[in-house]
Amino acid sequence: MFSALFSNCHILDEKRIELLLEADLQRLTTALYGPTPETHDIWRGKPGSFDAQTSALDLLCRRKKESPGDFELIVSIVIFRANFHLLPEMVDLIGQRFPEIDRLEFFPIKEYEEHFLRTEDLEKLRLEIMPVLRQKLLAHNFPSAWRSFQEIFRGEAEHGIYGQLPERCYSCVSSLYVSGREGLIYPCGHMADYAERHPEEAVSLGRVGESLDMSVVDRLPLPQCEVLCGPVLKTHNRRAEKAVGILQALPAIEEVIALPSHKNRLTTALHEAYVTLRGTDQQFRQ
Amino acid sequence: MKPLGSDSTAIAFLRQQHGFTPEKDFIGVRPDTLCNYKCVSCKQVSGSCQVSDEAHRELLEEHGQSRAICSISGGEPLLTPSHFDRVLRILRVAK
Repeated sequence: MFSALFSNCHILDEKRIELLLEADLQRLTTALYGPTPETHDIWRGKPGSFDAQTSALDLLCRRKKESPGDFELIVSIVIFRANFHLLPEMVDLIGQRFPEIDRLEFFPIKEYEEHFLRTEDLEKLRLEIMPVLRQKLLAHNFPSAWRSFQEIFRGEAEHGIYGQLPERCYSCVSSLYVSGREGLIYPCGHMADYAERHPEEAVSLGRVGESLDMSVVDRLPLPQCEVLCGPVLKTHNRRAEKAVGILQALPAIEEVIALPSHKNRLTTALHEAYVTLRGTDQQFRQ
Repeated sequence: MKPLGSDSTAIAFLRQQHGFTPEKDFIGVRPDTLCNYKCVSCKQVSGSCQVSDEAHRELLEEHGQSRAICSISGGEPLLTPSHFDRVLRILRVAK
């Protein structure tokens, strides 16, 4: 399996990094809340967290420099009302101090309304922050991060980043999420998060150690799925629906190809694979 | 090896539509929700792990196919040295 870990990295030293890699960790993601100790520590809720995390990132980057292909290192920038104006500084910090990271991700807080960007914030983001951010992301060689940022904040402008999802998310078809605290298995990680706040409304597949009720997935999405899954899954849904459409040989390929987006490389490749395999149904099923 | 993405999710959905049981390509593991931080983006209720190593192993072996992603999160999954050791054990099962 491909192993991934989300951590604030405070405990990591050289020895522990080696132990994780020896155990075949292949992706490590850590979250950044601000570009300085003053900002990051406030929003992380603990003094010293910036220093601990950046020191660990220094070690991880050094390790990547020695052997770049051993694991994937991702920094996820959490975005909310109080910090969105600091995005260019955060990108500068990462680009200058941690150029070895493989990917920058953006994660707008979408569970707690008090942290949502208001209309005027979004206006400021689009008019003032995004042009600077684009320059910095490209200058620091994070072009895919710029694309994903656009997908989040521009791709669904008609709905807003906290708006409704188009239809449904297909994650539950192919995901499981084990919550050790409750001993329950959820159809996706977002549902596990939702269960934290609304345990009576969340749905689970069953309890660890018992047989799972997979028919729950057929009854999804819940109305709450729309609340849970925000901008990233809007893109995910669009892409998945497009891919399903292509696999079913719907005549939408011209429309897909016409869209000037990096996503077309995925969908076009999928279409080609489908064309190759559709004559041999048994092979496709295998 | 590249992890699976949303295209494979679409394939899984299509297979389900045609009566096949889809394989799981993502298994999230949140051993507990204990953490040393209080981030603005998280209001998790703090709680310890109720699931044994053996149960984690059985789940990963039963549902995890070789190309699946095993994603470990928390809480802070590396909170203490003993938490760190538990993550190592999960990683070794998923290996």
